Amino acid sequence: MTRAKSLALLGIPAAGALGGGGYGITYLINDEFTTDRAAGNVDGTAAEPGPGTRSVIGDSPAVIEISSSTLTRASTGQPFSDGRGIKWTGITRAAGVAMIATVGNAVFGRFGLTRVSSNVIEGEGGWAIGSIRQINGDFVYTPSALSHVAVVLNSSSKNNAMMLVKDNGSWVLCYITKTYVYSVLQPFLQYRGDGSPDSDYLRVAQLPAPFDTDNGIATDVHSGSVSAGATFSHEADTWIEYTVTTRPTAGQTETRFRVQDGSNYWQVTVDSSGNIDLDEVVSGTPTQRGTAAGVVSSGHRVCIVADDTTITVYSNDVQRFSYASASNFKSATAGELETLGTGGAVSNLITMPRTLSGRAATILNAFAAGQS
Amino acid sequence: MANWQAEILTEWVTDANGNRPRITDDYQLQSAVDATGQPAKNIVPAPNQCIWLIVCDEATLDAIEADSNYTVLWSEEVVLDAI
Repeated sequence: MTRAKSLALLGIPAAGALGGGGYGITYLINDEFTTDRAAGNVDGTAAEPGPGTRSVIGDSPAVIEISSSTLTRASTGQPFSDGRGIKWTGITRAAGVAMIATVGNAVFGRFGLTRVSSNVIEGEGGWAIGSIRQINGDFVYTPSALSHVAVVLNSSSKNNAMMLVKDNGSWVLCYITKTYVYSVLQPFLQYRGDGSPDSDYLRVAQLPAPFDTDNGIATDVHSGSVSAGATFSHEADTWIEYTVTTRPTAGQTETRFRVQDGSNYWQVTVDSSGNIDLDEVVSGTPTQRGTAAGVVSSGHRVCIVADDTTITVYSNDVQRFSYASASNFKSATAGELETLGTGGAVSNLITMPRTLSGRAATILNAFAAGQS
Repeated sequence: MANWQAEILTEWVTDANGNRPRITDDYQLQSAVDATGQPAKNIVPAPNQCIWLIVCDEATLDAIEADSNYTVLWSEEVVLDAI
């Protein structure tokens, strides 16, 4: 059976509602699973409408099928063993090359852009499905209802990728994760457990601005070494990252954000022992709200996600703590690298919006809808 | 060594460095986060108690459980799901 996709069913506005098309999206892989294919007959078939070719991974006995325009599991009664899935044609990494798909929420599996060698998904560059986590990483986000997910690559010089999910109608930047350095990466969906891994589409494309340059969606960028006293801006709900180039030998680095004024703000500190703290400062008095001992070394990246009343702190791509009662100053948008401590150094301080808006959101909506 | 997480009752310490839970002064923890969210303007509350979620090794948790200054509300071994 062949049937057309209903954009309304996918929760995506029609082309006219997005401004009539002409977004500058160039498809490298485009698969809407249009033609029904029984389990065992999916491998080696062409993506539809294309371009791209499907390769099935480890599906024995075969249960992966395409039915009613959905990549799903045949109801054969066979156990759904771990690790099987589908990969598509390899693509060359560049800033703004992105994968987008719908994935079933009930099944525990993985998706993303990474190298697939000998039918083994190689670690970094993917997410787990269900509760979104980095592969080999830590929990980063639980959507209320998982539907459209996207991975947007930065250039090989940055060697990372932005993980986004469309949650309650908005594109949320979940995490910016490491990726493999390989120049050719493969999109994949990999399934585990006994769920039904439904997917309505998978696409890979070169996206236009603001995604086609590193930090294209950034609110503020301080490249290279950042001096004490440097100020920055961020959205109220924000992603903030920086590298502790050199840990201080005494004192601590203090990065302030959601600054209401000089006496009322939030700060993340890193001291000479590698302890990282989250402090709420009210009328000049700091109150510790979170801490992790001895986890930050020179060269580690620190990431802060401020989302409404929750502030989550990561270092070296591990979630250290998440404080859920951060109601003070949650609409403030100013930040400052207040001090570096003695001998400390910080570099590459970047802020990104937690929730995408404007052209960035429009491009991702068009990408989800298969528009060019 | 296995890691454990637990919610414990601790008191606030206030001094020239600000406010912090006593548990982080007394024990080497891997991480700790305020689970109560007492507004800063109300610190120190009466009674001076708050709940923190901590992660530590098993020996440290044993010591905290044996320490009459603290009450362990619950604890469980940290097990990461395979992905």
